[in-house]
Amino acid sequence: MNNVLLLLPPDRQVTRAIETALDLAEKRQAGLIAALVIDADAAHRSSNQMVDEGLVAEKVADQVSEALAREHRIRGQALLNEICQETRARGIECRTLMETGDPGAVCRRLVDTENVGAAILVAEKRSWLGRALGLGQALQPAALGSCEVIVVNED
Amino acid sequence: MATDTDFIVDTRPLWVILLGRSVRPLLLLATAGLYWLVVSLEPPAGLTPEGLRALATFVVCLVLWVSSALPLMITSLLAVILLPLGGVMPATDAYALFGNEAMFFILGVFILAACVMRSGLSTRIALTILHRFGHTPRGLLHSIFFLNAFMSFFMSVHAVAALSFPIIVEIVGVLNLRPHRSNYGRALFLAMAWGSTIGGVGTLLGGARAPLALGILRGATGESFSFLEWAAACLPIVALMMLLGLAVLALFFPIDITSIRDADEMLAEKQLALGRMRYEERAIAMVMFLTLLAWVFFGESYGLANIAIVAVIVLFAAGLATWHSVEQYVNWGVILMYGGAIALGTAVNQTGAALWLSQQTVSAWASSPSAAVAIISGMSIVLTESMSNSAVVALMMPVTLGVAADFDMPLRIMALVVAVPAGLAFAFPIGTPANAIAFSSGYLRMRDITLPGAVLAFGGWCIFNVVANYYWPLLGIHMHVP
Repeated sequence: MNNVLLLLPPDRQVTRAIETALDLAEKRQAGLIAALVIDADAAHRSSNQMVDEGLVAEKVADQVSEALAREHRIRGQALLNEICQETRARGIECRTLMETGDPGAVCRRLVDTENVGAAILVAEKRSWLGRALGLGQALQPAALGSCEVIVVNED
Repeated sequence: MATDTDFIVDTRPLWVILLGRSVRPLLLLATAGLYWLVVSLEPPAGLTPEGLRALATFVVCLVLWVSSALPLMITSLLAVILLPLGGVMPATDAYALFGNEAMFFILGVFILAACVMRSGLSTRIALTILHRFGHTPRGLLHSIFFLNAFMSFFMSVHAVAALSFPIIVEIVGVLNLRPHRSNYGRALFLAMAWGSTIGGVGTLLGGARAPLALGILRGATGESFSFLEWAAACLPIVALMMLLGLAVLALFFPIDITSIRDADEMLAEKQLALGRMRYEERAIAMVMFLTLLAWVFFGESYGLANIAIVAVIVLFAAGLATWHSVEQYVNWGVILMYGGAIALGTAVNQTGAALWLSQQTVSAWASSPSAAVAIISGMSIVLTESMSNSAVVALMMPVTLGVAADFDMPLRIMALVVAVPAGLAFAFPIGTPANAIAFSSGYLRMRDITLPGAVLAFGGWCIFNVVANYYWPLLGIHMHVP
């Protein structure tokens, strides 16, 4: 049985992606792996930017990043619990995990080791102003060998 | 098996990818070309060859500060070496400007703030005020707004925002407010950012903008403002901006929750966990209070920087601070950034480049001192939305000193006209670290901050000009030399 992997970023609106993942898992009678990955580099990037451009002290910038990471973990755990309840209510086998690291590397590892047949990624929604100012990052679709990649837009 | 190299496939066109990776080196090359182009021009009428070379250095800094192609402090270092290399001023003079009094005032203030933060005194004050006044949704929102403004009278804006950010993150967490969806969540983070920003213009301690402006002013003219004069000129702006800020928050983000009982309990628990006020906190609070009194009453006779440094020495002598603990709370790049900015400002002014530049720009557009103030404050507000507040001051101050000379205005008024609006960044996350910190919460979308922020910035510009024209003369700060 091929599993469906739902790769979640911590600070995005992902209701549509969750629905898509549940529908797909139900249709294929597959298990669902919901993975929430906190991008470790993103925290460092924002911290470095604050130090370089905002002249914020390193310790102060780190405190902001740590508070944000803590919030992401708490919010992420709550989201994973919700997904698990919903999945089990629909009779689908569910496994959740939360990691800090490179989302791409985590996705690749799970695809390689967890018999994943389809990976659902969330595309960040950006306003024209956000794009113009270079805020956030554009989604870079991944090639995962034989694994099907489905990109779902943020709500 | 997939490997690191074959995982990410960037589907953008090749030229977009190459352009994205080449922007920085291309910009640096273009800036070098621009410098060479300007210095190789024949000096226009009214500008000396030294003035032209100072202007070329000014243009280089303008491009690099606006684009952030180099860190701000590295651009400042570049300015310091370009001035002697371009024959604008001797190297010893350029480097000596790092010893400006404003530099040591900024340094002293940052170290004092570091001691306050590290001791936990600032967190205690924040929790006490929030727990005391924040029992209802509106009360908590207003408490955060006023608390951040009040604390920014004594500490730099970004330090205040960073200090209250973890508390607000916990509040939205226990209230289970949904990112991007909850009006109240958005309002809390904006109250944090905007409250800090508005309060930061109230005194000389809210950031390094005002001391930097005074440093450039003193370097160029020998004039300055006392601590009390500056606060008296700026606090009415803060008061009016606070009212406007509350109105904007109420208009754009109507409160959509009825109870904050969980947050109230959480704040009570956190306050309880802090325990009784420790000796270290009491002693630091006392030193801060006495320093403040000294700035107000003896600032002119003993010098603001001297008082700040004495306070720092007292803290270390009393064992209330250690170098290791303090150094992590201060961004030492400010010394390079502000030292270079003061050197550049002095050079542009002394060579006559400032006067020439002002005659080509603001002086040509404005018909009266009031119009010049309106234009300069408007430019400061627009620029500060997209670049560092301090870089705005560094770029605008020299030019505006030329404008003041053109219109027969007191030169020192320009420190207020540039530094205060340069602190009023509300509309973009990149405008100031306080906005960036609020935006990083994930609760705000761009449109949540741009439109209300633009309304607040425009309102700020109106308030500033009304105060400058009708209130400052009552304090003896006139638009014309009497």
